[in-house]
Amino acid sequence: MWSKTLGGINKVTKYMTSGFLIVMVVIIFLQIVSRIVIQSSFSWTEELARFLMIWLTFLGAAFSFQHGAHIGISMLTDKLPKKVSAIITLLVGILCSVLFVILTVKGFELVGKSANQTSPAMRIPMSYVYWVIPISGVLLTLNVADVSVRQMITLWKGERT
Amino acid sequence: MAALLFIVFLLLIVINVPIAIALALSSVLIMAIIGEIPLIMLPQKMFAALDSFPLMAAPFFILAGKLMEIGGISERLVNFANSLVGQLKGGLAHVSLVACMFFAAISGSGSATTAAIGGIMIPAMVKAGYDRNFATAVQAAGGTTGIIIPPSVPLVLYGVSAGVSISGLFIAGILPGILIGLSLMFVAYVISKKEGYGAGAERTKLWKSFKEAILALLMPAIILGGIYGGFFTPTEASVVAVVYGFVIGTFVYKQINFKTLHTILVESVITTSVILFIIGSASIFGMLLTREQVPQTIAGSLMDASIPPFLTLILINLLLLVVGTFMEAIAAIVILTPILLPVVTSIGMDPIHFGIIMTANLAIGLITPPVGVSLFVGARVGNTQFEPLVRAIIPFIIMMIISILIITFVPQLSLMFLD
Repeated sequence: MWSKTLGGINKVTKYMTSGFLIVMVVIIFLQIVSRIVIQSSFSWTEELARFLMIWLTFLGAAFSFQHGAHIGISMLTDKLPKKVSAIITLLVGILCSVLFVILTVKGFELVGKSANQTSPAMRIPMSYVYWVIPISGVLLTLNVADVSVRQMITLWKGERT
Repeated sequence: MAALLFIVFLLLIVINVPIAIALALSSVLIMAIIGEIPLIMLPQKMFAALDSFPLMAAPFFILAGKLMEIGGISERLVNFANSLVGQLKGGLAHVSLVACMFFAAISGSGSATTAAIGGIMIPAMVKAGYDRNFATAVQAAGGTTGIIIPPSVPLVLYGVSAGVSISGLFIAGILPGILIGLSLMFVAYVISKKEGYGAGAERTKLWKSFKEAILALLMPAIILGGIYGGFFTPTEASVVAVVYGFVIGTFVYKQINFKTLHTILVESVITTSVILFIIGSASIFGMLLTREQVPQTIAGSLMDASIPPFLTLILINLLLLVVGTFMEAIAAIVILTPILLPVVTSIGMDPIHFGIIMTANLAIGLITPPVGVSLFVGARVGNTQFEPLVRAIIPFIIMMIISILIITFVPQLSLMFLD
């Protein structure tokens, strides 16, 4: 149930972020074409692309945990006995979760504070754009917890067999 | 406070906390202790660091590189390289190095370069009687040109961190990248002569292979020509690269379909978000370093100790080499640029020149144990054991260090095409 739900969420965010990347390419390409052809460019394209890149980064960082893609230095922990390594994996998971919970809470605060700000070009409320931070904060916490617990169990069992 | 920040950061790194999280978490802890900086700065700073148009060149060059890796371009580059240098002693090694340099000029990543060309050239070299470890070492070393010859994702990130022109960095990277490529060819030549490796396989007609590779070769001309001529910003050039790579990969070489495109997109999103997440969290770390005046302190103490500039440069090169052996190039750039840049500018070095030195040093980290990415990719593609491969790559590493000393002490090599 748990892994199915999280897997479903990650699938959706994967499609969303892939879509963001396509839209970024298309609108910046349009910006170049319009600059060359009609010698003027829209003011909103660059801003929209920047916001999409930020959304892509935060949402993508969450499911990247499932792919073991976040760069760390494992040369020391690799050499430890499996059980010690299992405990450290859990500790790392907890430390990451602490940061992501802070990010969620403070991101939510940022959303609340910026209700009256609008973006310079598109004139959309900045709170909409900032929403990605608390949302991703939750997804980051869920994913890192999921991955750490599973990794810890594998490592712990690995010692016995 | 700065010392505590570093200690906490290093402790987290040692237990394998991802670098992005270690940067943010150690900063948050220090902010909580100091108490003057509100924690809302965490999301604010991360957002502000990513809200940058020049930075967007990174995801686009990552995507373009993945499109080219699959798009059928490598074979044509290899054939063209074969007609250029296939007749030298150790011909196939030179072919793979030259093909790497061409691929580097359309891709911004070292490991992608090793994978794309190595997949073709390592089996070809082994078949022609080359030692498997030598063949793989050539390929892994050739991959380092991927991040020095423009376009280059690490140079984009350096440009954003240092606040210098990415166009300038791209132009400055051309000659140093070629120098490193040629110096690797020199090593390959000497070893081939000793081992008695002959000239390349069949001679291919220069004109014919050139015509076949023209669509791939036009790519660096469009990117660099566009930037140099002032038609595009680097970000715009990166989008043109994506569209160009997509169009020829899909419609001309017919290698990209709906399924491969989906994989390419998801892989690009993962690589992008991992890198940009580091950029975001490094900005908070950097803010604390600046607040604690760490760069000024380091620059000041080097001045006080009256260490001559050339020694400072050697020390910085050594530091970068050591850091490069255990830290990913991109993470190292983002963390070290704000610390080292004030130090080198205080002894009169051009920030663009320093960007090239830094990238070249960290490129060596791609082929040194324990975490050399190109080394691992090479070992996988070449189907070799890690340890004999490490022995085979040592001569290439030594030659790269010599090249870096030349790049460091001959600034004209990097700066001659800049105003």
